[in-house]
Amino acid sequence: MQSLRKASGNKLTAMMQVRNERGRYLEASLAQLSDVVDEIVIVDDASTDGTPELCRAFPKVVRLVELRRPMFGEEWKLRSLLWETAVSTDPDWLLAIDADEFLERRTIRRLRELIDQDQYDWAALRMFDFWGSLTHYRDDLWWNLHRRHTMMLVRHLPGFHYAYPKWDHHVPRLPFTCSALPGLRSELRVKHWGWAGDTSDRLAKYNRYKELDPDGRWGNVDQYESILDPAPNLVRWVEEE
Amino acid sequence: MKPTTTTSDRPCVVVFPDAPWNNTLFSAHLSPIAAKHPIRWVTNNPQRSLAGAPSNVTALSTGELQRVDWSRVTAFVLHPCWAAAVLPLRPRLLGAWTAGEAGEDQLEANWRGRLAGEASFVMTLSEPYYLDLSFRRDNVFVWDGADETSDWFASQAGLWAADGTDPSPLCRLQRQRREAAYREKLSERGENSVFMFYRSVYLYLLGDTAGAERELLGAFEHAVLQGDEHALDGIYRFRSALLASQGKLKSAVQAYEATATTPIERARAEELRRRLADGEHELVAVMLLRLNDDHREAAARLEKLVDELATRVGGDTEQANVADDENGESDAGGVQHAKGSTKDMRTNADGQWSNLYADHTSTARQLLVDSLLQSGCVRRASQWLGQRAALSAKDRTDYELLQGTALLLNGCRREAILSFLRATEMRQDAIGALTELSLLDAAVQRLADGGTATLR
Repeated sequence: MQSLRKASGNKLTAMMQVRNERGRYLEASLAQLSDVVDEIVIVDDASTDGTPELCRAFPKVVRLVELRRPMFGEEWKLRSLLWETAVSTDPDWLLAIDADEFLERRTIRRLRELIDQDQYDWAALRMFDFWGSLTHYRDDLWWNLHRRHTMMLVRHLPGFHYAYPKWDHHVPRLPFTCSALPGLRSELRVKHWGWAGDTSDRLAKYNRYKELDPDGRWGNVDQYESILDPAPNLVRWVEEE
Repeated sequence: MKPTTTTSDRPCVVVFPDAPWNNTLFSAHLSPIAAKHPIRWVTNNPQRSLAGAPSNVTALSTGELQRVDWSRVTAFVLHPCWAAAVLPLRPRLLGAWTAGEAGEDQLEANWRGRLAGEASFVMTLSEPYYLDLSFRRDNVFVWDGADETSDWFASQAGLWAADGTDPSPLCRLQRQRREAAYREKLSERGENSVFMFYRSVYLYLLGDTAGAERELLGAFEHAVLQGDEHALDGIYRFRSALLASQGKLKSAVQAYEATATTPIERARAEELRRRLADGEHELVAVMLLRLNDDHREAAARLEKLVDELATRVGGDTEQANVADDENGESDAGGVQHAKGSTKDMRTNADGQWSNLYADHTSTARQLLVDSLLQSGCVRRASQWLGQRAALSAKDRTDYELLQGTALLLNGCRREAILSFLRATEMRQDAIGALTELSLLDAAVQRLADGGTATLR
């Protein structure tokens, strides 16, 4: 019987849920991840644009679950399915990442240091919301995720009780029970390009949020409205090597 | 529902008080008993001790204690300092009544633990202490005013004992009621980590380990969501005991290891893994129970294990062909042990296995003595601690101190003092045991004179 925590030789598996990602950032994301992680596990939430075929083109995608009907309206079930699928591949560590998120070069360089240790079981990084371009991120009252930490990496401890909150939307990307374990809040950074598109992209996302959650039950109505802010505070991104 | 007593003469109740009647912590609890039973109150100063007491409560001086027929007496001991005076009398039933641990110094806590460990039953006024004791011994009751039905069981336990009847059948009924009360609270007020955890503990004590695990995981989830920083070690770790009790040892060790964050805890996890790999299944189960403070169950299993191992050291190699359980996830503790031992025998077919058994036995015996001491069962512990185990000076000192205490509780005061003196010859600070004895004597004197007492 091996120790639950290995200080070296850890297998890192990226886990990702996707839906109609073709023509956006998925290919670039999988290309980056293929250089960084050992395996990739994906759940496709009933894409209609050939996203699964794109995923299959990457050899490190070892498991791809294709849903016939979307589960996005019950996000906790989708997250749970992704988790169960990922842990079934026997990973040591999991990187929970979206198709529009990219690790900074310094983060890539130091990623193995984060996981090849036996002291803590999760790592949280700084996530920056790029806005309107790939050169600037947004920093204001409603868009300041980078000032907090986002748990993105967790050690897989076989037998541990992993649970997601049974919420329909805005479910955390990793089981919330992980946070009871010892963890590290790192200053390493991740770029979120989900809002980096043009105005019409953002308007489409705004409309989707308003449709899914008109009363702000799962999120915040004021934050939804701030998507349309004509003059947000933007800060130039300087990539760290 | 109460069994009938077999004696024709009515048993007598003798109370060893914590204070005069009008100041005792237990007057409200003793009053209904006094209404039905004559009570003898141990005091040399009745005027002071019994002011305001019902007429049914009469004085019994310390000088008269030796003339009482204790085989017909139920003793209620309300203060731990009486322990060394009462236990040698060997009353028919001995109830330790205790409010809890608050405001107590270590010496007093030690004697309260010993009294609780050696009594026939314990009556407590505090739920946390009640649960703590329930992990150390059977036959514990709580009378805390939290639930009318639960209190009724406690009052009945007092009345049964006063009548000379062992109240132990009521213990499980009270636990069932306490568990139901938490279930009702959760149903009325919604899920809550504290209530769910308590319910899980009651389910465990009632033997429903699968139900206890379900409730515990719910408690853990709520605790994490509430940001409770002790969710892992204070709640989740208990899962390792629940899984060990179900015989799922590999999962139990994993559950413990997940909660192991300090170097000491990680070393323990490593030892558990090693022992599991070596097939020492029953020892692993016991260690997990001890890591979760369940010394009651641990001691019960260890007594059986030590006996079994002693028999095996005598030489039984006939089981060598029994298949081993590869992952340790089997059902019954006894079966796991047999399989594990068989593996030891197979891998040591050159005849070394008996040494392994002897080592295994020594570990089990040490753990047993410690669990019995943690449970306050000094006299049982002293029976298991043989002279052979006393090798180092420290061990010999501890041995003499333990033997001395056991002798004291058996009424062999002179022999106890000789043991304490032998301990002092080996280690100067062991003289504390003799000082403790004089403090106890003085405390008993104050209590008998109608005062109160501490060991400070």
